Amino acid sequence: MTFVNAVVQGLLLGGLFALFACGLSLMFGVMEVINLAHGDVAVAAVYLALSLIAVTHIPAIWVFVLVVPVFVVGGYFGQRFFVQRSLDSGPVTTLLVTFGLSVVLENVLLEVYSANSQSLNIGSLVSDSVQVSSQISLPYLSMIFLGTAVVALSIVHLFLTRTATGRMVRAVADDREAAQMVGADYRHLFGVAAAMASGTVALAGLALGMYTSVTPSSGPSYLLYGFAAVVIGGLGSLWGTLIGGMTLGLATTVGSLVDPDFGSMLPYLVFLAVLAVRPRGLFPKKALI
Amino acid sequence: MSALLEARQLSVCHGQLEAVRGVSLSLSAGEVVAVIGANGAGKSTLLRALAGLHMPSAGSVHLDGKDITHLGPEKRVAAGIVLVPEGRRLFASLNLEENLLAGTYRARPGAWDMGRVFELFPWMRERRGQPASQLSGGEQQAVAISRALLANPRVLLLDEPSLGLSPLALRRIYSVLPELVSSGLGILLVEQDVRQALRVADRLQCLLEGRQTLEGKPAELEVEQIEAAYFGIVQARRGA
Repeated sequence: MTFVNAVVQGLLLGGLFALFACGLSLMFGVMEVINLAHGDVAVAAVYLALSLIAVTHIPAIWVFVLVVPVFVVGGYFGQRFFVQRSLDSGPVTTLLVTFGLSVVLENVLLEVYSANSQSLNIGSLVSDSVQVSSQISLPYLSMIFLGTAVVALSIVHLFLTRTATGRMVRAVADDREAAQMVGADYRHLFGVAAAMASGTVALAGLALGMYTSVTPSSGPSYLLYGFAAVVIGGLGSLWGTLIGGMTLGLATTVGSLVDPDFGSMLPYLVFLAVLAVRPRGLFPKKALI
Repeated sequence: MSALLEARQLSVCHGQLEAVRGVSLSLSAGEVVAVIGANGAGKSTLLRALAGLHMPSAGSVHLDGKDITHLGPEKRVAAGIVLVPEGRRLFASLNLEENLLAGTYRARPGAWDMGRVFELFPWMRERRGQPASQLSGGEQQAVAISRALLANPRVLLLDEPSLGLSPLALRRIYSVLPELVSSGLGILLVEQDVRQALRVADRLQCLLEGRQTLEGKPAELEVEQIEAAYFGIVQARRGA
């Protein structure tokens, strides 16, 4: 029965991983940018939330209403002003620029907020749970995270499939030049994709800030998890990323059954196993959704 | 009659190679101009330059007499110049209908909408949910042309529409041209199949190694003249 519990917890946790990783997948799928600052963006969202809570006294669980729009807008302009300029000068440059962005973000956060670890205080919600049976308990927070991840990913999915702009984001991922031939400004569409990536990772960052504590330098370790989820799922495929996130979540909780340390090792073993057997991921489809 | 689209002394370079060398052409509304030439003559490059995908190294492009030489490709679509590229270039992960809808993304106001496309190609209506990659070559070409028409262009640039098509599919594609022309669309057609080009074109222009070697009305041109301009065998023939 503890095994069933671990599986349930793993799936709940997996939603969070998927939400975190989907922006990485979007950025690569649409413009072939590997954003090395992805984890730092998530951490920056936590710190921005802390500042906003201090000023507005908004309950921490609702702070995403303020933070996510900031990151959506920031993602768009960050792409247009930094990433696009580096894209114009070659694919390797984007690695350097996003790495630079990561270093800058970490140090700015360190300067402003110090190196102390901090978390978003959501009171008793952090430990409350529903007892389903004697063995299985569902923490409210994990359920909220999974619900948020499903809702956010569904919004991204609906945007990409049902709106004219979303359709062109997929088109530009398929064939940038052909998209130009129907009148699409690919730079604008790249910006839109980056806005979605930034918004979803900010949301994931807030969830992380509630679930655990972060320091200005925790970004890169989250980035590793994100990469693992994306590579397991298949780079650039959004629903593959969800499966990848679920796989990582399961590996974490099931591994912890054996030994807590094994819980942090098993995800990477799974990651290596997938790389060895299916180097292009479980869903190597060349499509965004 | 003033030209709708005009290229003046246009040169386009691919790195070291000058693919198009000082080519001039004009296209009026309701006219089909065919650009013929052998492989590597610079036909596609010329068309891509007119669509804004290559910036010319010299010369200029005008639409309605207005200089659009430095206008980006997406802005040219809004201005009314739409390219149907070689190899169709449909969006592989989008279905048929989504590919068509992509054509409406920056469409000008005009007569073309989804209903009219379905009238022109009735089979598309039932198969609109099918992924573009599952369509046959002829079907893909029809979708590519429809996608371009949905932008309500004034100038349609058609790059090798016959490439890889069966004779039947080819005839179907070409059978829609007269209707398009009668609506006042100017069509610039690049074609390797000279016989096909001669059949539909009002005027013909031949390129050889990036240079213009012949221009005229198909009815007024001798077959030998076209052959010579196409293959560049003028001297050889005279010498014989």
